[in-house]
Amino acid sequence: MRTTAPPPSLPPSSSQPSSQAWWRDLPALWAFGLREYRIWQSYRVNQALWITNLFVTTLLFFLLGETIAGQAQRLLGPAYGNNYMSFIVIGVTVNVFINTNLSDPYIRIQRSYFNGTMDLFLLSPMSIYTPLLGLMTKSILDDYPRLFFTFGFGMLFFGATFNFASWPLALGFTALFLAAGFGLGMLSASSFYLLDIKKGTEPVQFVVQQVLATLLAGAYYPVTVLPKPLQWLACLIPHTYAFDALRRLLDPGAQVAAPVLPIQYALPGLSPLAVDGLALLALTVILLPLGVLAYGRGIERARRQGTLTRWQ
Amino acid sequence: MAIDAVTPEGAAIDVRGVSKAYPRARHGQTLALRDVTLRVAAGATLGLLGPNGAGKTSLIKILAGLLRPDAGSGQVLGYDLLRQHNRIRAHVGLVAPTADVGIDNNLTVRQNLAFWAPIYGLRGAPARARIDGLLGRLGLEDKADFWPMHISAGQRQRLALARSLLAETPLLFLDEPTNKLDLEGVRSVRQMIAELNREQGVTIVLTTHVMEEAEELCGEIALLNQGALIAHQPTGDLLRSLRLARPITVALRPHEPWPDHWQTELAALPGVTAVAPVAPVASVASEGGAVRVESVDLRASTPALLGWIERHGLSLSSMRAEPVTLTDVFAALASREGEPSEAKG
Amino acid sequence: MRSVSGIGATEQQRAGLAGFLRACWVAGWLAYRNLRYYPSNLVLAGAQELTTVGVWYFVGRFLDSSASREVGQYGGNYLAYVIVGVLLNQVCLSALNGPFTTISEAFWDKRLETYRLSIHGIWANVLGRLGWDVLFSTALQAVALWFILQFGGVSLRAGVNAPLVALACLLLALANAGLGIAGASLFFLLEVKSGQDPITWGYRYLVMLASGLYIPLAVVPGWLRWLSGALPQTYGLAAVRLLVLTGADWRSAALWGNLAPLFIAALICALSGYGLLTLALRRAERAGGIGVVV
Repeated sequence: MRTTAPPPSLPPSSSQPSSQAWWRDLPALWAFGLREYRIWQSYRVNQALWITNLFVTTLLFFLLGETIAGQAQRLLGPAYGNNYMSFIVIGVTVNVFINTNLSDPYIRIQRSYFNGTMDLFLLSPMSIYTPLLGLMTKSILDDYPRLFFTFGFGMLFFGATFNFASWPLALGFTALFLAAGFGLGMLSASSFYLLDIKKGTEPVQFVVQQVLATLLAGAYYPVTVLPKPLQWLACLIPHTYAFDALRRLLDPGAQVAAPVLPIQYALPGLSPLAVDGLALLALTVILLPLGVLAYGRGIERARRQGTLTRWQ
Repeated sequence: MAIDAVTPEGAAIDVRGVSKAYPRARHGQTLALRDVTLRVAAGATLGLLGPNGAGKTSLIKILAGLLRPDAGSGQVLGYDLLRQHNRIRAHVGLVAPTADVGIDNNLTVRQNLAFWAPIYGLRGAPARARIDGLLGRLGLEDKADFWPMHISAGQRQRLALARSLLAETPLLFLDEPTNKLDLEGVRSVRQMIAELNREQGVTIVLTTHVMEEAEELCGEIALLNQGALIAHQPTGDLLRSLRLARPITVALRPHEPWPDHWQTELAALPGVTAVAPVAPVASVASEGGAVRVESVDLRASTPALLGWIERHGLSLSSMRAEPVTLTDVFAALASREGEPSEAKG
Repeated sequence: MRSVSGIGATEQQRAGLAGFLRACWVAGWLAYRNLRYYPSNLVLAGAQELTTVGVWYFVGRFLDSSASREVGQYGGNYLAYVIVGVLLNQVCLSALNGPFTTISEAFWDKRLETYRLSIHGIWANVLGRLGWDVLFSTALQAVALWFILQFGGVSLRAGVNAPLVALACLLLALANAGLGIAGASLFFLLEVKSGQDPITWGYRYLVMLASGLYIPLAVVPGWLRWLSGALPQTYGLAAVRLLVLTGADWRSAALWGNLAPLFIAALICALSGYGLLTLALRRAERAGGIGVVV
């Protein structure tokens, strides 16, 4: 039911894309990245603050580590080697990474709503997911480089050592936990529209990141410190497997074969690393599509209710 | 790619029976639109008028694919309103009532446009050329490297317009585009809108509270009240059909008295419904001064009034017709509602 | 519930100390209402604070067997040592962070000038909210303490001198509130309009590293330890730990060795806070007002 050509009065249409192919959105993603980089550059004090923050966190655990001098191997157990600082550096780094992917989507959606840009982003040929990914660039710029700083501080000043022989596998695990974390992040973001949580604390992010991951996943201590039921609860979130796998792969003296998590004991036929990999894969396969679906549903719900954005 | 920008009948917008209600916590629903049927030809400029809460923004959001109607159907730019909303969104532009929406204060004017260009599918040299062209056309060339917070409100509004024009969409929604602007800002934005429609043939839907703006820019006017479309006609036809009494203030040269029987004679002129002196009657007769004439047909009254002045050998100092306000229009519509025999828009 | 403008609406009737306290009460009540606006927030805010305590509970359990030897003077139990420190510090943090947040929120919500116009001005709002924050945090930490004492395998000494514990806690909270108010003054003095002010930001890090909050002072290296003496937390935490973990009473020289400097520190911090915020507000008004310009 359409005419085959535009009337002469219509403007040239060369700029309009011919399809919604994902690769058409790459320049838009680049534009988001460039914008966030420009903004990031203009806040030099913030950069200094987060480097200091990182240094102090690492120093704090270094000093705490001093209290267990000579007993690290006994306290950490065979799976995580003999260096508490190496253990902590991985804990802090993974926590920052996964926290970005998990917590940031909601914050970005919230800001787009309150500053009124969500409507404008949707009034374009972009996919509804592109603005979310693009806006996250800011946190990726902010957080991902911390990897180098945390490892750098740990290795240069606080005696952390690592075994990088299995780095491709470590990279694979990193990709998996980031994807699973992003799936949770999408679920968290969709709560903005699906559950109408426009302000205050967002429950998905809060429960998973602020409570379960902080308390149970083992960023600062092995999960064996926890009571058994809490150890099982820890097995529900990707953080736990990411900490476990990366420490086994990178910490000096770590044993790949020694089980730590209750699920690893429950599956004796599989190596602990395989359990970590399979669990992360399963969580990714479940959480990522679920997050994508929930986010799409959330946008559609907001389109029905007229709550996509607020023009004020 | 050719955009299928119109329906087979040549309409950019053709929707029927559109209704929308918003859910309200603990209070049922708020009805925003009731059974709105609207057809806008490609290349037209439609003024969407109504008081606050009339449903203007809701209608714009529905037509732009940002809001799903509860009922109704139709096409926008040839795309189905319900099933192809994502394609509609990809092919329409929108300027929000607040210029700050979509403008980042951490980026310069040019950097703001450079950010939005790839989002609208523009890249490389064509994008740079388009940005330069728009900056030039909108008079923002010398502000290109300024931070948005360091330019005037009018310039920010033009920047918002430039952002929406980057996309080169055949249909543009402008939600109160001159809101909060000073006189100069209003003038330049109105000029820009007129040029856009005249030179590029962009179909424009414009919401405003200012009747004068709609008169100046819009070939047709749609009036919304409490969610219902109560009139949709070419601007001139609508104003004439409403027989709005527009005040014309006529002033003679200082101290020139008005002739005898001036009130009776002026009242007899075509279209004139009322005549009254601005100063006391006695003073007007002896000392001269301004007189206020109300006319429901300016096109008939104005030449008749000028002829009458000439016939009496009077020297005209000034003659000014007051603009119609939205309140006048709604008052006239309300009185027309009370006359069932008259045709409605 | 009274409205914000109620703080200054009937000023004639509310002058004097009673009126000031009433205005503080209204501000505190509003802070409570804000927290309750989203029904889940009250619970979530509580859960957030308790999670921090939980993390340090498990860190304490993890390090207990090796770190306890470093805290011999406080009963030789690192888990109890760290839990008492964290609970008390959580209350201090609410006093430390509250004033800047109050000023910042009121400024960006364009309420600050309205507060300034009322007879008790910004002070009632700052102190009222501070009071609410400290009370709320104290209640949460009390719940956490009860839970840990019941189920966490931590115990306090019997016959603790409660008035002295309360005195030490009050002095420490006062010192932190003073520092927090001093930090809030930088909102105008240094134009720190977002994020965190340098005073409380730096102080928090120093407390983490050098006050004995988490790390026993015996382990803190010499280059950091010289800073410990400048931190009210060093004395406050030590005093409370001596009281509740070793059963020290008013005759303990070690206790007074901490309480006396804590008293002086609290006085200095409170006066500095008052002086700096008063100066900041005066300067801001002279420089063109304290409200946000849009």
